[in-house]
Amino acid sequence: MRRILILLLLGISGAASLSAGPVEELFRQGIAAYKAGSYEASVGLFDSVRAAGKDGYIVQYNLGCAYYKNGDIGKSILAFERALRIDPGNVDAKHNLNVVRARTRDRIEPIPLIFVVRWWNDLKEAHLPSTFFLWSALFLSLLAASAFVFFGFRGTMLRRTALAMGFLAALLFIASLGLYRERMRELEQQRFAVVMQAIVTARSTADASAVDSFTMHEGLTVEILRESNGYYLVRIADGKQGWVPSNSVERI
Amino acid sequence: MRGVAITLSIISFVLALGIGSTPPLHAQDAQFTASADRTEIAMGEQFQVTFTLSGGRLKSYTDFRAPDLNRDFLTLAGPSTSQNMQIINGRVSTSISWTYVLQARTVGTFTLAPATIKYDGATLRSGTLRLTVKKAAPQAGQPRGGKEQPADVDLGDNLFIRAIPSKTSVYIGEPITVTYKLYTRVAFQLDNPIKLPRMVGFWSEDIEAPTQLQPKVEVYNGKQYETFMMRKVLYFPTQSGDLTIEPFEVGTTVRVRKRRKTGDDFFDRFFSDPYFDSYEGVKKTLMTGAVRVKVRPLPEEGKPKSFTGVVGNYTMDVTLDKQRLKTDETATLKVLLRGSGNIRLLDEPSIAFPSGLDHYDPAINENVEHADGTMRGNKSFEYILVPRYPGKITVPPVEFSYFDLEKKRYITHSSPAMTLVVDEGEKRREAGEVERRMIDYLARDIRAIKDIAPGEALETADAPSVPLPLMAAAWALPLLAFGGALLWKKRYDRLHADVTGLKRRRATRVAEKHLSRSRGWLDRGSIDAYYQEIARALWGYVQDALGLPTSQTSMDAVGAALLARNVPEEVVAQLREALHAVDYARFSPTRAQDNEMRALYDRSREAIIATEQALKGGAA
Repeated sequence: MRRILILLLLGISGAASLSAGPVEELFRQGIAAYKAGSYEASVGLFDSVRAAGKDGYIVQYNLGCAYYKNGDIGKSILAFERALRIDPGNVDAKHNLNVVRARTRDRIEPIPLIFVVRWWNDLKEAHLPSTFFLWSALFLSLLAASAFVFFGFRGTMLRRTALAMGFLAALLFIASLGLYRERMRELEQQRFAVVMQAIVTARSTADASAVDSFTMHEGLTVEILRESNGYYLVRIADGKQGWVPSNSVERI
Repeated sequence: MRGVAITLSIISFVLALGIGSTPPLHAQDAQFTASADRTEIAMGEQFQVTFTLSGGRLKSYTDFRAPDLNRDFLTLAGPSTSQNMQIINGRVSTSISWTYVLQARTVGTFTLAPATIKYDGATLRSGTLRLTVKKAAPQAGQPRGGKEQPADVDLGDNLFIRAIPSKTSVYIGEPITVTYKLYTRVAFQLDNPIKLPRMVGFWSEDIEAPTQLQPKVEVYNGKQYETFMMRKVLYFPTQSGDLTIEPFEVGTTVRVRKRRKTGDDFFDRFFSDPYFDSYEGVKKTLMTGAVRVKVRPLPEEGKPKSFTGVVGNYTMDVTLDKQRLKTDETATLKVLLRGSGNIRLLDEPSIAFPSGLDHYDPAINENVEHADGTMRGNKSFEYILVPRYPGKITVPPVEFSYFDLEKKRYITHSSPAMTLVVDEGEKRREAGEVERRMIDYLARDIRAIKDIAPGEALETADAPSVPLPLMAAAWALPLLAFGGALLWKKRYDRLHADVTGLKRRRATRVAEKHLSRSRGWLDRGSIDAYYQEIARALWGYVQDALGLPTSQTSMDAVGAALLARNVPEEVVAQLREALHAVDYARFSPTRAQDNEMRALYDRSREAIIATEQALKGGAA
């Protein structure tokens, strides 16, 4: 308690010279608390920064670190997943997510997929929709350029090359549009969620008395397929599906 | 006289004194009786109750059940069983007995319920016992016979017991040896098993507890005594302050001379002759004085972090049985502590094993001996280690601290850190990829948190979608650019249509056409038309190929233009000759020979081909 008070005082004295605003000040205090080893205080500070609307990548990332150090595995995974939702390619967040996941109880082997599907999924997960949109615009430009060459010039070789380029560009354009749409839907529907309770039983129907299907533990990331009277139909990486109470998971 | 045989087995002695037995209950050929060594007991005095089964085939009894002795009395010992076989007048009789040592707790008259035993299918019951407990008499001795008087049992310094501590001022954990020794100048017998008092503030262990007491002669306070070492006990104080080792008590029966008082001096004098003396047993409880010990706390100064209260003198040996292993194998870390001190209380050292290394509770092995008034020996802790993932794992240093009593300071032993090289084992390869990856991450920590630059503002998570206007713009732009560019290109092409280039590319073809047509005229014998066609082919070719206007058809202009395009001199000369020959033939009045006319055709054709090649070569 006294330590927090000192940190607060230190923070306030430093605030005048450094800070860009009161929220940034809270953020800095969170970092100081983290470095001093008072992770609980750090969690509280970062969480209030997040609550103040500054829920960007850095805040989610730091929140994940603080939760982890404070022993809260489920919330830590949720925060890192959210950080990756904002910045999908971030290697630090990926590393930390793996470190925290190693401390969860579930070890789920994903269903083996053909390599094309796997590449597609990996590519999709690795970028934001805006990236795919940018790609689509680039490929459309390439398509237009090819068409221009094809229709505007007479050389046989030149026109043949332009035709091939045009087809390739069209294909890539359609692919990036597809990636954009799928990724967009994933994010808008918040299809993924993290299990927040120590142990959750997935059941065969959306009903507390239903037969047990399988169990999941805190920190597991699941895909929400459907919702029905307070239950989610979730799917885990190995393809198993089951209904869980909607309050046992939190959407990323 | 002195050589008193003392045996700790008191049963026979007491049984000889046994009185007050009740008649047994009937059985076929066996008797089951209850007896007490006396029925009148002083408060706090110890006595014995024995249940005896006699006669018959004693092997066939089962299920001996004693009555509840602890209701009225305190069971100090028992049941101790003993078997007896007697052959009297050729008759064999056997007996088995169960003996309890009891102590009276309250004054009053008590009836001891019968004990039961199953014998030959029948349940036998012993009789009941009536016992009277009186207030403790000042004399424990039991007078026998009205006329006999108890001897004076004030033994003074003839029989006493001493507790001799090795030292009385110690540190916490420093061992004290206390020797309990009996000094005697009279004949005596020990009554009951020696019981050590319960200790508060000490951890104790017997060093010597002889079952057979060996007499020694010792001079104490100027008198010669026969001494018996009864116990030697090692005490480790567990708290500081002024502590007391509680007194040690032992009950004895002393043989004292019995005197008959007949009232007749003569007889008295006669019987007081030692030859006629008879003796009797008198109870006497001996007690040591309390031993006071001053226990000092250990100094706070220089107390190491790893100190857990160990006092003594130790060496530590840490060994790892292998340096290299596979993930599905185990290694053994052995911590061996050797030295003197309270080895039995040594705790396992706390080792901060890394997260990638599983370990089980250690197997503990201790070897202890007593020497020089302390405990010596070794204690080993063996940890089974299981690596979780391949790589290099550091087994951290093991630290062990103790307070050295001789040097009066703390000493810390620390083992060096050891490295285990772990290879991939079979089992691990079988484990799923996710499992393996996760295990690898178990050994790692998360990366550092992120800060923002001074003055930088935090960001808000943006919506993932692309704004509609930007979207429209990004797609419309390339399409518009395409349309615009195409339109511009068409217009440009129209404006900059390359007429000369076209003519040049077509020049050879046109010339070829004229040449082939000229041959037709030649075959038909139309000479003028023939020359005209060749001239058209040549001049037309030159004009088209060089992009010269029709007006500039002088030979010089053609030559200059060709030279300007890097056409070699001889080619230019060849073409000029051909042109000249054609002009000459056309306008000459003399008719050329047929073969000359054909040669002209060939020359013209060759000149065109050479020029064309030169032009192409120059352009390339």
